[in-house]
Amino acid sequence: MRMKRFIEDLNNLVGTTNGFGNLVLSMAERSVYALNNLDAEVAKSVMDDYAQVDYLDGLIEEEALRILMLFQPMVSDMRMVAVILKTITYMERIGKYCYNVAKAVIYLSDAGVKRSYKNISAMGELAVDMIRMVTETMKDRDITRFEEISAKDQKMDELRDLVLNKSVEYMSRDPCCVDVCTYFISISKFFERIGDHACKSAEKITYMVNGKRVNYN
Amino acid sequence: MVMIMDNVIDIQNVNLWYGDHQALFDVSMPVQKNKVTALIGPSGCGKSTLIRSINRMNDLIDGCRVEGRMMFHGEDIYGPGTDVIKVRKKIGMIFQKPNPFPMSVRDNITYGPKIHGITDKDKLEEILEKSLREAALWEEVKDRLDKSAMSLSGGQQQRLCIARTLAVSPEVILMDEPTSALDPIATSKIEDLITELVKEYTVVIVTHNMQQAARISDYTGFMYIGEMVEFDKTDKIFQNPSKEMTDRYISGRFG
Repeated sequence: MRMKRFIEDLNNLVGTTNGFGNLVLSMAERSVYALNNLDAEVAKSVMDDYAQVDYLDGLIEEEALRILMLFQPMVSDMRMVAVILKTITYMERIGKYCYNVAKAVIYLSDAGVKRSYKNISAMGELAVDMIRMVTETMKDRDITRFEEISAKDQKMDELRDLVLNKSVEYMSRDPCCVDVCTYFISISKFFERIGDHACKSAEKITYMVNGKRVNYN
Repeated sequence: MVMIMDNVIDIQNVNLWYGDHQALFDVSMPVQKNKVTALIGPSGCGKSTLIRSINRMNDLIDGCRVEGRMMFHGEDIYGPGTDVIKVRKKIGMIFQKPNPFPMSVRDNITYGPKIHGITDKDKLEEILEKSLREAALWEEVKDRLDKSAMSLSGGQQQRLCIARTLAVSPEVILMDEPTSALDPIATSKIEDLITELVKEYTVVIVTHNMQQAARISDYTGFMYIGEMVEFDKTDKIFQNPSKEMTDRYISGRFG
């Protein structure tokens, strides 16, 4: 009976965590769409969803702690609950960065900016890819997917440097574009941070699946 | 399998029968000096049989037969010239239910040393205090040494049994579910005690409490239907065992 309840509760926890992952992934996709199209409406929807991220982060944490208290899970179950506790923190941060990107998009849109830059859009696509790797692997446990995540993260860092250098160049040429460029620099920083959190999540999920500690950063 | 040096006991390919019934199948396991080795597994898996065969307690059971090698400092415990009394002095045992002798606290402790020929009163008093201190019981019983051991609480009785074992200066202490009859506080005291004891002694413990095995042991062996399914460092067994069956048992999926 105890075991039946435990398995039910654990399955529910995993289900809620996957839902949380789907929400964050959707926010990332919409924030990138909003950026590419300077669409303030879509950006607004991302910002609105952050409240749900905050709520689910707290709910999952509470539920995971309740499971620890009631059932003291061991071995692979212990790894799963511990990794869920860690991963939701990374996911919450990713949700917050999506919120920040959306907020910047609204500013840029209000400032009359009509298009994003190729390298920043590429960073957005990378960020979405990396989050999708995490959410998919959380579901099907196929960690071979993570073989590419370090390369993606490295690419992300390179693009951030490019955006930064380019923006500094623009700003020194034309001081009028300082505010817009500053927003673009911020957005590139948000995507780069999303990449880092996705890598950390991937490390934890690998530990959940095979008990091995790896470094993807 | 982990490489372990400095083994006090080395169990090599042991098979054991009770009459026609085979209870252990080709079991091998090292027991490292000054470490706690835990045996886990469902009821009837052979862990008590294994621990009892280490100091030849199974000799007392009719029809019990052992094959393989059970080495204690390189000498076979089941070898032809082995002094069984000496083996049991060097390898003491604690059982599930505390079983003090129906006599005073003092006599419980000094009984063993007297049997082994110690008669000097001062020496016996010294052993009495040292054993009770090592078993973390001295402060609780020093004013009632001549009271009956049966008047002690269950947890105190179990620590008295540990002190009684220590009184004959063993090297290895075997514990067969030593806390399963005790409340959580008494259990914690025994666990703390085991952690202290391994500084001087070597401990092998059978337990049904997974968290207990994880907390106090350095190495863990998981047994199932008479076989040693997996033996490894405790951290490995409880975080990431090599065998799926070990994971399933520890997580409570079967057993």
